[in-house]
Amino acid sequence: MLALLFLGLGCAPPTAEDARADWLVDALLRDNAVWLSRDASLFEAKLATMANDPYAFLRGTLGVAWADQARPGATRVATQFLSTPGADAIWLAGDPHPENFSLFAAPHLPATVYNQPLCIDLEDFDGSGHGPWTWDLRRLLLGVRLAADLSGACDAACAASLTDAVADGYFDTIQTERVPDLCAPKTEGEALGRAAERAESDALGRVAFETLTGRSVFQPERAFLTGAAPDTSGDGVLSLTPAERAQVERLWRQLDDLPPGARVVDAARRYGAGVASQPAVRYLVLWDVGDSASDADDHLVQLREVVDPPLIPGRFRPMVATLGPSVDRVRAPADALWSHDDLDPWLLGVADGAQLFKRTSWSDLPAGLEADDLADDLAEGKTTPEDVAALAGALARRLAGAHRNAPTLAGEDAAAILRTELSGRREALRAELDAATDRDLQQLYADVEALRQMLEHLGPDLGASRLGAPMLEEIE
Amino acid sequence: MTPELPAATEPIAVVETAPTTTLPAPCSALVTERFVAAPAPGQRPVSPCLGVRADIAGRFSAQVPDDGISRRFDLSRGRLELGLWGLGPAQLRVALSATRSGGTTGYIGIDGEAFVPTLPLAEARLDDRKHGISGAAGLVDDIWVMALEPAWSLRPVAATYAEDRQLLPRSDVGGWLGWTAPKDVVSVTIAATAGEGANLRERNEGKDLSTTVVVRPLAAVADPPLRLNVMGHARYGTRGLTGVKNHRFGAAVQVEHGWLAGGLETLVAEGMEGDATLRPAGGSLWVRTGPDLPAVAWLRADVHDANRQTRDDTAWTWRIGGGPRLPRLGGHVPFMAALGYEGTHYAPNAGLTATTRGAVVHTVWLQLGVQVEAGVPVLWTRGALERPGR
Repeated sequence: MLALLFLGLGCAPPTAEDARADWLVDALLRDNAVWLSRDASLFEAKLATMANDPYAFLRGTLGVAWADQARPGATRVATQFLSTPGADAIWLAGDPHPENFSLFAAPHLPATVYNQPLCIDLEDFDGSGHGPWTWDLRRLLLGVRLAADLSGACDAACAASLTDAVADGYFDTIQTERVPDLCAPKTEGEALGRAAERAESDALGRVAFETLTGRSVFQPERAFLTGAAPDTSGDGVLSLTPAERAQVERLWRQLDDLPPGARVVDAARRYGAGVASQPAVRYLVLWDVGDSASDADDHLVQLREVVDPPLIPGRFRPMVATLGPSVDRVRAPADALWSHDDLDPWLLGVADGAQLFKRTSWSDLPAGLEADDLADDLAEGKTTPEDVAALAGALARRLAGAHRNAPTLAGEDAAAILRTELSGRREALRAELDAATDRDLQQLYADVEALRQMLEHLGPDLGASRLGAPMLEEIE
Repeated sequence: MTPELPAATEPIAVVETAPTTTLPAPCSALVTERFVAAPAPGQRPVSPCLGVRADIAGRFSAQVPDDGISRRFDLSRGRLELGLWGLGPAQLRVALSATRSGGTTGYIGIDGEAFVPTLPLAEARLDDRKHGISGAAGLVDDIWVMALEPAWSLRPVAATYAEDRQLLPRSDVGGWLGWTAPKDVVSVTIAATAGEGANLRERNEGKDLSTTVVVRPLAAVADPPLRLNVMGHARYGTRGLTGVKNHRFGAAVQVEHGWLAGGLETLVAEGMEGDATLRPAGGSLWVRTGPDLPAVAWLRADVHDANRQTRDDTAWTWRIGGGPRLPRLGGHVPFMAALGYEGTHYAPNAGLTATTRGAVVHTVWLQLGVQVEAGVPVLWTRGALERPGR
């Protein structure tokens, strides 16, 4: 009866673009339910950031990328890999685009005032879990290709060379007996060298420390230079409210790895950083040991809220939460995936009720890679496509090293599984990555445009305010 | 007039054969009513009754290939339902289900990832038993899922195809209106719901309109040897903030006998999970033993095409299992102990990631469960809310 009614009404099928835009709105609201449950303005700021910059869109849409790979539909590109048992249960970094790599002080190499050996490694494990290894690799290549594409100085040949560099870097590292140590990154080419120089300079000069804090005649002890409100782009460092101060104190009391006499000198709330986690609560904490007025023992750490990785809608077999509960989840991926222990000695998970925070170093290394710098250098001719390819190859080698060294979900040897997967298939990997990334890049640009249009059409919150009260825990 | 016998909805704890008189229906018979449709006209009046349905089952399963947590314990069923029947023509039902906070993919739950009660059903219902008309509003059962479930009856083993593949929610906010013809030959139910399912609030102006038609050709036959249900379903739906189409069309045939029951059901979808380009379809063929046999056993095959627009994305699932029909404890409690097997073959494009070859997942499980349905008569004071001083 109703079927006849439907036929009578005439269900004109939406265009593929319209259907995609509609789905994208749903996916973004689902991904951001936790942020919507609090302060919608922070969610709106995140969407604006994503709409203004394709690379920011990439950073904010891990859930969309996963959904595209998990849903049988036109957007999914088939892989000829993942045929070995366990290959779809590799310990993933989660979102290994270039900005989620950092340069860390090498813990095993001697440093001098003028020479700080660095290691390049993964930095952000918010999306970490077990899944198909191809997902991580495609995400890395998409980030590299996008950054290069945004420079306007990377033609088809350049793009192909980046794909080959990532494919070869990953392939060679899986096939080799011993994972190469990437703790001499300046040898990896100019692009990485420049990033290393920036990182080294920033860290040794403690730029963040110097720009974020200061003293005055009236305040002899170092303190944060805070503003009254975030600036027009949503950035800013603000004084803590009483509730925020109480939360920092609760979190700090739980840190049991601090040296005797460690004390908080000052703390502040930070706005506007990150993309995926832009609405997350971020605290900057300045601390030292004892009551010395000297800056020598001052440290700056960040306490940043961590939420669950994106869901994979439409999945048949769920990617289960396998990293243990709460605080263990922050440290466990780093321990499993890093090339060296304690690259960030201050990395730790700490919970305040249901809220989970991760503590990371801020004033010292690590220093993250910046896609903008990469694109600018390429656009201005300060670096060449060959240098960027060398950097991409290095990132792929590190990702491969992480994948092969960490146990699979079943506790099996990932290296053996990945070796079987890739044996004799270098060209197949190159070809598949090339086709998949072309598709991913095209889709990403289309999605950015769709987001812009939907923001115009539905408003800065994509119409979430129509749903009324907070949506927390309503979205499955 | 034969009372609405619950025999097909085995296992059932309380079954009293009521005499064909005009006396009020016994409380136990009311509790076992579980049709999302109007009762046939001319049924006996009902007396006030407080009913409880509890359905709890624990399962140990082992899966091959090993995916890391291949041997596990699950609370495969945890549901408690309370109802008040016979408040004149009215009845109320509320159900609680056990849900793992944080889900299967989240790290942030409540008190760790404790089980928390959720509300899958909160329904106010009116039955005009004289004319065979019923209506319900609130958080109500899905009219297709619940039309299919009584004949399958093994919900602790697996949900029916549509619910199992998340093509339809178990319940939704809205209401339905139903009419059943004399002698129970035909039931027609029309529902209007939010369309997002019980766990999501309404997200668009579009309302889901659904209808389910059940024809029981043998119902008019005196003392029929079996029960035959021929059913059809259509839904015009929308999903998500932007009102993405979410239509369903279904059909089913079910045959029930005291020894054996079987069914064939199919469902076609237009739109899924807020994606208008997804067009899943599939169905289920099953057979199970009836309450007159000393064993519980089932055999079921499901096929699910995740998107009719794409190739090689079909998943086949086989289920087989059984166990002794254990003596009812105290004469009223069905206790189920069963060993089951479930195997799913994913075509290359049907799994988590599209691959060039398929995958097969085998699961063997042992489940212990109890289903209790009990009702006690209650006194109903007509003027309870009108007493002086209130």
